[in-house]
Amino acid sequence: MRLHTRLAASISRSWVRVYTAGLRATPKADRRALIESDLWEQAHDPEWARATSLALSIVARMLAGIPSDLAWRFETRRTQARAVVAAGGADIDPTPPESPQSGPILSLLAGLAWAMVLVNLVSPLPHSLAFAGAMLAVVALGGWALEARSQPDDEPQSSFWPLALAGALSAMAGGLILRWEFGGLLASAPFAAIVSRAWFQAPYPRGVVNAEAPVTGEILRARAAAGDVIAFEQPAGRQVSRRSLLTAGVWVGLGATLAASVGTLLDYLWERKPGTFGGIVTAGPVDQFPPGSKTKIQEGKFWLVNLTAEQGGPGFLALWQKCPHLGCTVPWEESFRFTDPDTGRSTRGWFRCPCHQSTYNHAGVLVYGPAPRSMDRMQVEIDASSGAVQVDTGRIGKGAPDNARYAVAPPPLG
Amino acid sequence: MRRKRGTLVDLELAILSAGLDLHAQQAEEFHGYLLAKRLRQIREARRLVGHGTLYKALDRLEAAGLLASRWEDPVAAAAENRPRRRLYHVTAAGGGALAEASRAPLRPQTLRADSLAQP
Repeated sequence: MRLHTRLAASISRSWVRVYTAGLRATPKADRRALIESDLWEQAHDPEWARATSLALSIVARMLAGIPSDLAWRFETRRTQARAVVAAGGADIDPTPPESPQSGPILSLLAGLAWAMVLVNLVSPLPHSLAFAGAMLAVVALGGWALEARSQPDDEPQSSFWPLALAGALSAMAGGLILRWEFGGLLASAPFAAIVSRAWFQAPYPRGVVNAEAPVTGEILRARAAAGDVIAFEQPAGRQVSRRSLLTAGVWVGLGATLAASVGTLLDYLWERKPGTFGGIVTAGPVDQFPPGSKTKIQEGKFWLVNLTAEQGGPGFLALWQKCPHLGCTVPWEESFRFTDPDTGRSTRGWFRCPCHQSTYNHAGVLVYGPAPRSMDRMQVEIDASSGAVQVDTGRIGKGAPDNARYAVAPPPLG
Repeated sequence: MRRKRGTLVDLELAILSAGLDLHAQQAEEFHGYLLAKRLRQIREARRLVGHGTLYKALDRLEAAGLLASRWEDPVAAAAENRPRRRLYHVTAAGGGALAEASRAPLRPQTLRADSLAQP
């Protein structure tokens, strides 16, 4: 099996561990075997000539199934609860030894990540996909650690691939976010540290004590019917162990990530104070802006560009600093070299968005990148008597390849 | 998706029809991945159906008695050095449900599955 395929299968397997965590032995083992078989069949299907598309397909199938998986989990839990009530409160199918609350919390995180992906389809929020990615990575990591901790000694150890992959994913997502937000650090680093510590704890069996062999639900039920006393291990008293400290650490980390993600999201949605933006902003006298110059007018949130004749001018153009893609502020990069796809000439000096590398020429015309159009223009007027350049920041025209046509020429000298 | 109790949705009808196709092509029983591939052909989809979506739909169909399943013999699986398969087959009720759905051309997705139990 190729490396990609193994990684993809590991991610899917981690997710299965998460949403089956805390369920009774039978549905849990069945579900895991079901998905395991599916993964194996797909990985060994000769139809997939390219390992990459096979791996992508596996991951896509996992992602697409997440809502149904969660629904399945809730249904299964309900059925279990009803079965206990029907048995007169006697709970004889043992819940596998796992930390009981981690499953739902991780499922919640996965659900949240999934919701973020959906929200992105409707209206893209900056970097929320990175958040979603980070959360999914955390889920994979957490679920996997959960499983590793609770694996009985006789089961083979799971491979370290999910850990490596989830670590890499969270680092990647964290890095993506970190370019702008501190929250990314919270989202990735402590998690990777805490959860990997948890993983390196030796796996231990917990739960049923007076059982020599692995005990299934049937065996227990039969023994209970025969009048046998079924005992479950009870901790002797509350002690702060290394393990409980680590568990607490995981919870603190989870909480911090959640808080950081929600906080950053709210921060994005919060409207900034408008300031003087929206009215008429006076940039200054014409001769303050030599031909070819780009001047950032902070209070008007625009770049005042004095186009030369060969740049499509002469004249003044006010370009809104906001990238039409996702709204990042676009800087003028004086020393950035780029090849104009129209002329094939490589020149220095472009407007270039730091977020997704949309690139615009002197007149703000889009030449490269994901932006849907060129930079937007604001209406420019030059006061004939004072020679002051005035920009109406409330009148914004959509950017287009003919931006330069709207350049306002200064009145002739003299 | 919200739906009335006892009705079949498109995916479930497609599963039944894919299952019958597989039966027609020699396979007495089929496993989930095989079904997913056949489903993709039938629905002319680009991607395979999600794990969760597929197995949840299979559970529902089985609960309605339209499919039946069993775990493959572990010895047979071990002989081929692969994990055990869950093997499904379409029951007579399942075939009937599909036939009835195709007779209701306007709203095939609102077939009443529970009416099939008492022919």
